[in-house]
Amino acid sequence: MTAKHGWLVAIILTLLLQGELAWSKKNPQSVQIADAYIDIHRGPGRGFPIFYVVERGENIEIILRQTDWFKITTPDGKTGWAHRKQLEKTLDGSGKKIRFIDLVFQDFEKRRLEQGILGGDFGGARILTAYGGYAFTPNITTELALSQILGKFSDGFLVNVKVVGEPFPHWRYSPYLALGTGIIRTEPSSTIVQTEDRTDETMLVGIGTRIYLTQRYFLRVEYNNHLVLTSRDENEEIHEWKLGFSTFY
Amino acid sequence: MEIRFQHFLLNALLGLVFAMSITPSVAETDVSPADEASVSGQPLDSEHPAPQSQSQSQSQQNERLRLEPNIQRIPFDPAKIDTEDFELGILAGLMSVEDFGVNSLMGVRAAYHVSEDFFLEAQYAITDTEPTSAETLSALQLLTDEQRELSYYTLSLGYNILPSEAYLGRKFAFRSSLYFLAGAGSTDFAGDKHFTISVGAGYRFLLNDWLAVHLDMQNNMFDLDLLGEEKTLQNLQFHVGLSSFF
Repeated sequence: MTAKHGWLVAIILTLLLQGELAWSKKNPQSVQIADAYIDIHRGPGRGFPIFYVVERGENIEIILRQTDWFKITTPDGKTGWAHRKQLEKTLDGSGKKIRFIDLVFQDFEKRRLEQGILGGDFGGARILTAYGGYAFTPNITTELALSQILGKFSDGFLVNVKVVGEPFPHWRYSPYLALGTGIIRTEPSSTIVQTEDRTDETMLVGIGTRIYLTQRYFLRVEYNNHLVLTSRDENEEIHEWKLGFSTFY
Repeated sequence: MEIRFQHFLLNALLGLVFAMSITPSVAETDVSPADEASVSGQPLDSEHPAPQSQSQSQSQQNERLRLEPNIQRIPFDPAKIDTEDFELGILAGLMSVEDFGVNSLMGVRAAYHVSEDFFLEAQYAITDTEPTSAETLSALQLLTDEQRELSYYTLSLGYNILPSEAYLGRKFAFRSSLYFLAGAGSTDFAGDKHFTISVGAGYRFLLNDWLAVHLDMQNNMFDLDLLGEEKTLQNLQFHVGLSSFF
């Protein structure tokens, strides 16, 4: 078991190196407060107490960002956390207004890259999927999905390439149609009679919807009808239902 | 007497400085049309000769000021702010595999913090298992050595509760939080892959802005039909982790 953990040592080293980089990557940005005042919290959360306020016209230094919270230093050396919404009205050195990347629904339409995880039912077995997609136009996306199938009598892997067409990308509940092809590898359970592992080609037709949540997140619900092109006399048809969570960029 | 003289000298000096400082603004009040033309960007030419040499030097001064603004601009780029939403770490602890003993566990963990409340976590870990009591009491051997090694991965959604500050003495404050985890994944054990449901709770303690210590309790549940009838195994584990934000 110890021999197998050489990679763990490698990861620890990477981690330390990475930490070292995080330490040296300090690049504070100076901004001027344009709101009447902003609240400075003790920590990056709405529950942390406000211990200080910075007034209009004062300069603060932004040290780092964690989710929607910015760690800042005030002119008199106090360090605390401010929320993105309060920093929305800050100015840069030349007096221009700053816009932090705050994604809204309009950005959902214009997304290029998306990635997510889905889980559900694959012809009676459980399926877990990780996928990534690239949108050529707001209407057409190509996707690559890797799935693991965990059944009672057999396990398997499924790799899919899909073209997804979205007729109404400006809808919050945006339905889509998918056509794809892939490869499925089936490994029968070891506790049942030993049979050969199989690798077959599949074709799929699917329907689903993306549901925009907030910021850069959306839900996905989909149904796929897989046709497994087996080497046997009959092809196999599999129904797949999935629900998942995705982010886009 | 001497002090009085000094006062007089000082006042005279101040008066002189004041007079010098006020002179240009006095000159500015009678700006000639040629000056205005130069200020608005047109070049000075022979069509509008400057009536006085003083105002010409004034206009040259204006020109110079217009070209070299005396404001120091600080460039701002939101993309240059160091974001610390990803977390990468290692974990080590004990995992009890039902019927198969308690053994040391080692693994890796990656997380993405979506908001101050939610995060997504992926975990991968390996542990060994021991022979069941049925195996030790008889000559029966259920699994090969290779099948006895258990590895799993899970993808979970985490929710932070009770975020707080923890104090060490008078000088040090650390951020910390409790969290719940729930997710699904796959366990590779006894020659098969098993769909796994994982629930857990943990405590995250941040040593600084980028280094965190974790304490976690977790239960990975999967079905196994190795011992005749199918049974849901409850596999409790406890681990500590060290992770880095970036």
